[in-house]
Amino acid sequence: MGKKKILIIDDEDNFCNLVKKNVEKTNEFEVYVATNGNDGIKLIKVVKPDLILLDIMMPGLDGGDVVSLIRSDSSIKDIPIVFLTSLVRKNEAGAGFTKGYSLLAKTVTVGELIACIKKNVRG
Amino acid sequence: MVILFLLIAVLFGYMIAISFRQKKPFFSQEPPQQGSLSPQNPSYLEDKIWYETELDFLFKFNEKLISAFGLQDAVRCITEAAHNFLSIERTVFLTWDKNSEQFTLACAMGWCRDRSQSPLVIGNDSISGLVIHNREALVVADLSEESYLNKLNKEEYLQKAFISVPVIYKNEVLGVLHVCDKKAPGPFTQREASVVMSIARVGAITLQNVRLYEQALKRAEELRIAYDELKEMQDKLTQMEKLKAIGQLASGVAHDMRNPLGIIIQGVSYLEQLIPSAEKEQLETLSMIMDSAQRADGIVVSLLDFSRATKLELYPENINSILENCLNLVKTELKHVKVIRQIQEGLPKVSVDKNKLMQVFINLFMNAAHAIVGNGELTVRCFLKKMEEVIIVEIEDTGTGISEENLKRIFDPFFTTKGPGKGTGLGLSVSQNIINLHKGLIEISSQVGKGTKVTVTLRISK
Repeated sequence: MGKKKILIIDDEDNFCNLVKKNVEKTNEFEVYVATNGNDGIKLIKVVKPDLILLDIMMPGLDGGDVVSLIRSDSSIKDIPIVFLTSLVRKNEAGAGFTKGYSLLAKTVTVGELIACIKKNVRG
Repeated sequence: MVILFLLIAVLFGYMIAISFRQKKPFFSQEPPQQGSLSPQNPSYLEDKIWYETELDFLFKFNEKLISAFGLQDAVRCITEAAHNFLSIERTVFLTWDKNSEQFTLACAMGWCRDRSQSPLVIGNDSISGLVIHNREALVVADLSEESYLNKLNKEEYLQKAFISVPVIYKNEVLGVLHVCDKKAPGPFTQREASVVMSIARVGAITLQNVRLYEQALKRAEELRIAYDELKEMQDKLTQMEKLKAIGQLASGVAHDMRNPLGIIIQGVSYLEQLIPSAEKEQLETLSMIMDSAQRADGIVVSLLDFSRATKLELYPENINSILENCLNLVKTELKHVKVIRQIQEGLPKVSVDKNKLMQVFINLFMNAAHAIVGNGELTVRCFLKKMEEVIIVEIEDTGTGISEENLKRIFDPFFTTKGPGKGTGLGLSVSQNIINLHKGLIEISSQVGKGTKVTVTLRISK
């Protein structure tokens, strides 16, 4: 069985790259990186990830815009999303446009991050 | 000639004696008789003595009245003066309330009501009512002979002879003074009536002054209360503005700080996996970096809590289980502390935001844990106050306590008594915000060297 595909969309490229390294270290996931919303949408359509780690506050298309675009496209609308944000304590349930999604603080430990990915990943 | 002169002198002396004896009783129906202060007047001596006595009495009465303290004291002073000067059986002072158009018994001497009876209230269809209607004194020699007065509502202290005087200042009726039956038999004289009128006139001025003074005091008190309320409101508004500004700053700082912190945490985690376990020094260094990053993140979380303590998600919750959850979460920090639970079972549920309330209790338990040096006790009480419809949570420690000076600032944002890097000074401020949002109350009492008690009051959900 192939590795699950994770897409991280965050404007902090250093953060994205370190997350990629840490998550891929498990040998269970393959991580793709997009550093803005537009690239993220393009990559979603190409990669068809099993889970998206999505930053909320980004220049250009922000997390909310990206969610709307994903949910309006039937080919990708069922992909699970986990929001990565600076504005939550650690791990919270979303509200507003993040309602129904998991919210993770950007300062989570690698263990917590991987546990959250495993819990939410498709299939 | 000498005999004639002696005869004239004896006749003159006899006439003077007769005139002394023939002093007529005064009735209200008769025109008032005034003694002339002329040495030529036969009753000059008697008048002089009377006026001097009256003057002396009124002077002393005035002195006493001036030093009266409050309305009741002034009324008592007036009643007492009339009662004692004329040696009276019963003296009664009624105050008049123009709104209810009723008299109320204010003071009585020589007459006492049965205590089991309701307070004496007299309407204006009475002799008292007639007196204030006519606005002049009424002097009665024998009530039983005055049929027109007997048609009015009976006032039991008015039995036979009496003087009833309205107590009026300018146009305002303040009350009625009834002086009833002299101890010595006989009706009242004009002079006696005029003394009662003088007492009423002087008394009215004092009563009005006392009333105005009391009104002024009341108004001053109302103003003081209004000022305090306004000040409190202003302080609250200032505090809210301050909190809002801090909140905005906090969320901005939180966002900007957490991105680099996230990178540090992810980077350290990555390096930890790369470094062989034998390289203890390197791993220790990484662990220190990780701890610092986590601590910095804790500060950011406090700022976030501070900025976000504005809305609640309320659900009916069991406070006892929330407390138990919190105690479980902080049991490591409370290792050195003996925890005593005084929990009332079967408490009704309370509409609260569970997560936010947990934040408050955890914060309070952590503060207690930090305040207890060496061994100590933490008592957690939770009980219902049925009458007030509230649940009280008390968290009491035997820690170091808080000084009076620090206690005043304990809820100020960023105020901390903990050492550098050990507290953000936001814990209690956030806790207070959360409890205020629940429309509850958080209070702290403390004694240095003895310990601290925090009381949280929460309303029961309906």
